[in-house]
Parts: sequence; C-alpha cells; structure tokens
Amino acid sequence: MREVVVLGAGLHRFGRFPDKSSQDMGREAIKNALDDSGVPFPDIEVAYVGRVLAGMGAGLNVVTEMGQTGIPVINIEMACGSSTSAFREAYLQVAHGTYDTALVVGFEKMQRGMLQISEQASYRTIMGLAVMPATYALQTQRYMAEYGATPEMFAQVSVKSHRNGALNPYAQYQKEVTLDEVMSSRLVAEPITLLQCSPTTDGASAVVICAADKAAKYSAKRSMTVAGWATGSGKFAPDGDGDSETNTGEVQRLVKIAYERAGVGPEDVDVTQLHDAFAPGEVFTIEGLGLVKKGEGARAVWEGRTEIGGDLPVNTDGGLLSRGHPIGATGTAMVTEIFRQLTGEAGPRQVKGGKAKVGLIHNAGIGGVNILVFTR
Amino acid sequence: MTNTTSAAGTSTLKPLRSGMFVLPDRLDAPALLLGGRCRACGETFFPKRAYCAACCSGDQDDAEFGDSGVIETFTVVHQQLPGSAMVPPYAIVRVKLDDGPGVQTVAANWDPASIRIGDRVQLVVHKVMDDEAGNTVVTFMAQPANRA
Repeated sequence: MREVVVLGAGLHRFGRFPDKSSQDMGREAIKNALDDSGVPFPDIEVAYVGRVLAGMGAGLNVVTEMGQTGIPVINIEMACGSSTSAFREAYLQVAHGTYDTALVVGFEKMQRGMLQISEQASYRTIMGLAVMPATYALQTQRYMAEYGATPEMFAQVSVKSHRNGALNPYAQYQKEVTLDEVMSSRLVAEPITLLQCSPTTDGASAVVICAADKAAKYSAKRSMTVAGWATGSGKFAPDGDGDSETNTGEVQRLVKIAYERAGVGPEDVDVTQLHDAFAPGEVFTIEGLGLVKKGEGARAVWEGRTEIGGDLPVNTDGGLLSRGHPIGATGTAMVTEIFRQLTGEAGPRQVKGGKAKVGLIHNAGIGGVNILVFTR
Repeated sequence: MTNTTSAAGTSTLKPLRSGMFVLPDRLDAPALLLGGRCRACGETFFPKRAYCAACCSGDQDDAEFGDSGVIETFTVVHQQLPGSAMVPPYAIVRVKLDDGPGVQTVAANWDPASIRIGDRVQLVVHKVMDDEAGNTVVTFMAQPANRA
C-alpha cells in the first residue's frame, strides 16, 4: 500500500441555514478544501460523499457543482459516521493505487428536534425506548454508580466544548457556557440536560487526499499522513449493547487495530477528535481509546486534561456539542480539525505549541465505529 | 404512569407486538418473555433470532424466560419521543433477567425517583395504550419485585 496524505481541508460554517441548499454549502466547503490543497478540481479522480438524509444520489448534485468531469461519485451512508466512512474508502482506493487524488465530502441539512432512527413504528418507539440520549444516559448512570463520578463531571465536557467552539469561526455555537448553565438547562434523560446534547445542524466539509509521491506538484507546502484506520459494526458482547454507539468495548477492539497499523500507541496521541453526540460520550471514549484508564475519564475531564491546554486535548474545535453535528458532515469536519492541529494552523485553538505529531479520530454512527490515526 | 387494572373492563388485551411474551388474561400478571436460545453455544436472546449473534449458528430453540431480574441501569426520560405512547417523565430500565439476557423496558407501578441500580424487579404485562378498536394494548414492563 502506498503512503497517502491529506493536502487540504475546508468547511462551510456549521449552523442553521434554511435559505441555503446542500449544493450551496457543499460548493463552498469543496472550494475551500481545493484552495487549501492547491489541487484543481479537474485533477480530482474520484469523489466519496458522506450524507444521510438527502435523497437518492444527492452526492452527485453537490460534487458536479464544481464541474462535470465525469469522475465517479460514490455516495456513502453510515448515519453519524458517514463521512469518515467516505474518507476511509477514498483512502484505501488511493493507497491501493486505483487513483492518485480523491475528494471526500460530507454534507447535511437536518430537521429540528430529536433524531428519528429508522424503526419509527416499532414497539421500541411506542414504548418510548428509542431515545438516543437515553442510550448515553443509561451508561452514564451505571458509570456514576461504579466509579463515583458526579453529573457535574459529565456536564463539564459541554463547558469545555463550548469554550473551544467560541474560538472556532466555523462552529454553530461560538459562545461559552457555565457549568451552572449546563446543569440547570432542562433535563432530557437523567442526568443528561439539554446543553449536553449535540444540536441539529446544517453544514458541509471537504478534504483532499493524494498519493504521497504525487503530492509535490501541488502548491500545498504541508500535509499529514493517513497512518492507521479501523472500522467495525459492533461485535456481539454478552453483557453489552453490542451495536450501541456508546459501546466502549467495541472502541477498544477497533482502536487497537488502528494503533497497530499506525505504529503508535495511546501515549503518542497529541490531539483527539471524538464522537460527543452527548457529553458523556467524551468520558466513555477517552477510556475506550486508551487515553486514560477505565473509570478515570470523568475525573480527567473534571481536572481539565482534555482542554486545549491539557495533556489530552479533545474536540478542540468544539466537537459535536458546540461545532455542531450535521450528521453526514461531521466526520470530514473532524479530519479538518486534526489537519489544522497537525499542520500548526489551528490559531487560538492550537495544541502543544504547534508541535503535535499524532492525531486520533473516533466517529460513531448507527452501523459502526470508525477510527482514523494521522501523523505529521 | 397510571394503574389501569380497573379500566380494563370488558376490553380485550392485545399484545403490542405478537410473539414477545405469553399473553395473560389480566393486566399486571407476570410477563414471561419469549426469546431464543442457541443450541450451539447456549447464548440467549430476546427477541428470538434466526441466527446466533455470537456464533452465527442457525440452530435456535424457542425459550421462555422467567419474570424476575435485577436493574443494571436506568434513566428517567423528560422529553416526549414522537410516536411514543409514554408520557414523560418515565423511566427506561435495563433488566438482567435471572434466567435470560438483558432486556430494555420501561418501569410500571413505580415512582421513577425511587428506582436504584441493583433493585430486584418483576416483569409484568402492563397497558401501554388503547387502540382504535377499543382494545387494551399491553406490553412487558418492569415493576418492583414483591410489590404484591
């Protein structure tokens, strides 16, 4: 397999844009990524598009806004993990030599209100069980009982994420919130309050990747290397919700594969983007990724270790909670932030004085978990 | 949640979904769940599967599980789920059955504020809603053990 690098990344701001179409947002994100990479659109050989709620073949309508070059446009769907799936497929094709350059795009325009998963008429919906935040809440309650963590420790994730979002001009929410505001916002599923839930968001994101030995001809004078990956769909576990996106065991199983492929370990990770659809997700996932020991995640957040200035910075762009979660666009936005961090271009959000070498991504959705490791 | 025993009257009990539990002739009777047990590896499932999630065997027996278990975890939901018959606040509980798998359901005949991890529970057949024909639609829910 060939070495593959990310040459550029770009976003359309995340937020609510009722007057903009997916094409409007996608065009802006793609242009920003192409400009950032120095790769002109006619040089792009394939496009992989992560999107969920838009209609049949919607990726084509976005990509061809840039021109009808006749390249294959592949639509990928894995719910909230769609565009890291798109990224992985694009990476593997370039690594195997099928193409030299690829564009990865994610976009979404979301309905307001709680996400409706596709079992609406089922007994689980009528019984009130198909509640996404409740999945996280059940694990949070168990965690608090086992490890003596408090609701404030989970709420602190949202305080931290909003502080980071306030430094990100592309974030949906660019305003800090206090612990008291998070704790006193209305309860959704105990102990999770409204300000611990990711919002509904419109947005688009794009990344340009290239075979490392073909990158020199483009004007981007910096890049990051795709070093490792792993993906899975929820292996059965007798005592767990095997396919739940909060399943720490599945994260542990997959990140081990990704670390091995990258030749790094959790102690090498400088910056992490992970799937905080609900605030407790950060606590469970830093444990699953091996960044802290099991049972120490809540305290690590409480002590500020996952802040931009901490030793384990997490979701430096505000994460799903504050940057926003336009489900198809989230994964490539995670790649965008890791790119900014590893290239030293993250501005006020920059970690470790611009010397970060290893970036880690965890993106989950109904259908599985994607792990990506990048190095500089 | 209201206790609907007195409201049952002459209406017929109708399962929310057939094949999930043994349908009793009265409300709040013990709920015996109908699931599956893998003949190859012994893993139990609710609902029954065609192929084992653990070992992929297609050799699955019908299984009937007892009504007793323990609360592994729970949460109290405060937001209305569209399409749901449950009115907040209500508790979602995950119950490990004594002789079967873990199952998720909602609490019945129970103040959500008093639920604790480790509480013993009994699964009962409880009203979830009325259908258009006037039938009492029932499903399995968890109530505190030894309530009666």
